[in-house]
Amino acid sequence: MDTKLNTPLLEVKELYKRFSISGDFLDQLKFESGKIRRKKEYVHAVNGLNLNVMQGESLCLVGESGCGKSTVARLVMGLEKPTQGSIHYKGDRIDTLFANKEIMPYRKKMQMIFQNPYASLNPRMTINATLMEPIKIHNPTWDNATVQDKVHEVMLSVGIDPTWGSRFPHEFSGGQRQRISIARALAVDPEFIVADEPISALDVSIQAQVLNLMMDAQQERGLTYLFITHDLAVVEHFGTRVAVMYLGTLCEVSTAERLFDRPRHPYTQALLSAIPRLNDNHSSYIKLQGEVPTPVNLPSGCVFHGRCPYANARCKAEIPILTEIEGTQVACHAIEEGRL
Amino acid sequence: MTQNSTLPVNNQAHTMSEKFFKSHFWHSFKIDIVAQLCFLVFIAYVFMALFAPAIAPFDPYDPASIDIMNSEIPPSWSEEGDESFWLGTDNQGRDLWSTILYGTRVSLLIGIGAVFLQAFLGICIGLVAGYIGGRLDSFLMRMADVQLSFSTLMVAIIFLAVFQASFGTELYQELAMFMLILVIGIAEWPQYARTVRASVLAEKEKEYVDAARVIGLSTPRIMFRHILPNTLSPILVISTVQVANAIIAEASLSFLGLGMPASEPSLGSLISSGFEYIFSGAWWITMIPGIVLVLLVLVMNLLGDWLRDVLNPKLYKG
Repeated sequence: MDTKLNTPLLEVKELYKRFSISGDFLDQLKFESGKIRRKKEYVHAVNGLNLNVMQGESLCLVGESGCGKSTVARLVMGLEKPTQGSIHYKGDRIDTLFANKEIMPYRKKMQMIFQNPYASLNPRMTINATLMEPIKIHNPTWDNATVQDKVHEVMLSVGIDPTWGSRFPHEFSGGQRQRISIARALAVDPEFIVADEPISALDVSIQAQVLNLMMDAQQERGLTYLFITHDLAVVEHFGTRVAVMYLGTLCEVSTAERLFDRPRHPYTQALLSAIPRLNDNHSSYIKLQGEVPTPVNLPSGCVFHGRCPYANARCKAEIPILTEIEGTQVACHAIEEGRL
Repeated sequence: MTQNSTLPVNNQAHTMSEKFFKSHFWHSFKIDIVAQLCFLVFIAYVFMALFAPAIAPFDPYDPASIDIMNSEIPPSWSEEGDESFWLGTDNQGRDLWSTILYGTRVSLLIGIGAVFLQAFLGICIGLVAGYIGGRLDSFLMRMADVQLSFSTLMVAIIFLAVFQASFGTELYQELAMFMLILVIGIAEWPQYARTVRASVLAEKEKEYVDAARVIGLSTPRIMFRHILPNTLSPILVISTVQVANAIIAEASLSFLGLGMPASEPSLGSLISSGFEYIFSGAWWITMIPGIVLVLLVLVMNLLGDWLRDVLNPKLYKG
């Protein structure tokens, strides 16, 4: 297992993504102290992210809402273009590919499962048509019977009765739809799946089913997952490794066991202490002060310094870098200096 | 194999018709008397237009069947009426009933043809503008704004008048129907483009479009196979209203002498030709085609309104 984990399947290097929020040219003109100036404002969604996903693992990316998790997923899948930085799949750079021909081989290897099963299936297409489309486009030489067999097989593998193929998405429940959307991702036999909060829109009773389905698929097909979630209980159940994200940067990456056992970064500690437990003695809560800063005007230095009880002058000035400390990658000056 | 493949198709067709009779669409049609009436009248119009040569007692396009001595005979129910001319005759001695049948045919043909052209242009431009966005979107939508700032009628009058002046009336009369479809079709594409673009902007944010991109589908395929089917209901609604508008536009142009020639009259040119005789007592030449035209447009507008309420209460008031 360990030797297998040593080859990174996906490498994300120094990734930046910002979105303009100042509208078109006329909206950007501002009248300031007697002069007309052009002013552009950006949301800094992802700031210098470094991440490796190893072959065969399920890497969970966790963080609060608005921290850029979904943007990372969309960048990896090529739905957005990064502002800076690069993304490599098995060593080949994939973020600069533009022509459809060049991207197609990666589309077959990398697939995505979406958050909202009510929006991710085309309401005007039958389940059969939805599932046949990816198979046909990636295997143009197959005849209809072979394609139909493949559809049959993936429907069975996600526990959807193949005779339901002529139905439309609105005839299914949320859990069934999410299974269909997993079937669509599995239909092209991918190696790597990005799952963007695939269970957060589902009932709690259905969440476990879908999660187990994804884990079974991983075992049968040797899949690698980049699993994006804000649910820490899911991480404990599902994740091999965990990456904790805060305001567009990673603050801690470690195996799931070690992270829950001994969280290092002050933010991770606060995050984990917020999980409600049955035998709760309220003293263990870590209360963070203040609010999450806006991603429009990023704080200088460590993005967490405004809310961190251990912050000092260096934290305000210098951006910490992910460094390996006792088997865990942490981006924190205090830990590096031994203050924590 | 053939048996296998036909079976599910039959099955699907069966459930499709079953689904239709259970649908909200059918239900709201069943309870709405106005809609039923309008639909009946509209079907009658279409029937009249399609089978005009079979229904009409005379052929108004055949000069041999026209006798100038029969001109301005009032409808058959009035004192001076003639049994063989039910609705009377026009100033050239043509049977008015036959001429109206043929005229309805011309009007509907121009209306529907123009709307097909509008829809084709508008859907393509709207899809591209909405899906691709950015500068192309700004450019196309500013073009639409410019186009909308001129009234359709004014553009059509200028275009047709210039054409008539430069290529002669004879050529114009030969090409009249084609030219009318072209002019009305091109002048009104922004209506479609704007509606389609608005729907596309809403649809393209949905995850199924991202899913289609992740699968690796090409942009045209995503636009036409995934997004377009989801924007169809507003397109259907404005189409009914636009056919009525196009018929009115054609009638107005014909009335002004820029439409169909007197030898192949549409409803508009018929109204126009009778207008000179209205004060000499020959009211029927203008009034009867006028009523036919008003009823047709009214029925289409009411159907469009009903369709809009059923399919998409949010969009477009024609």
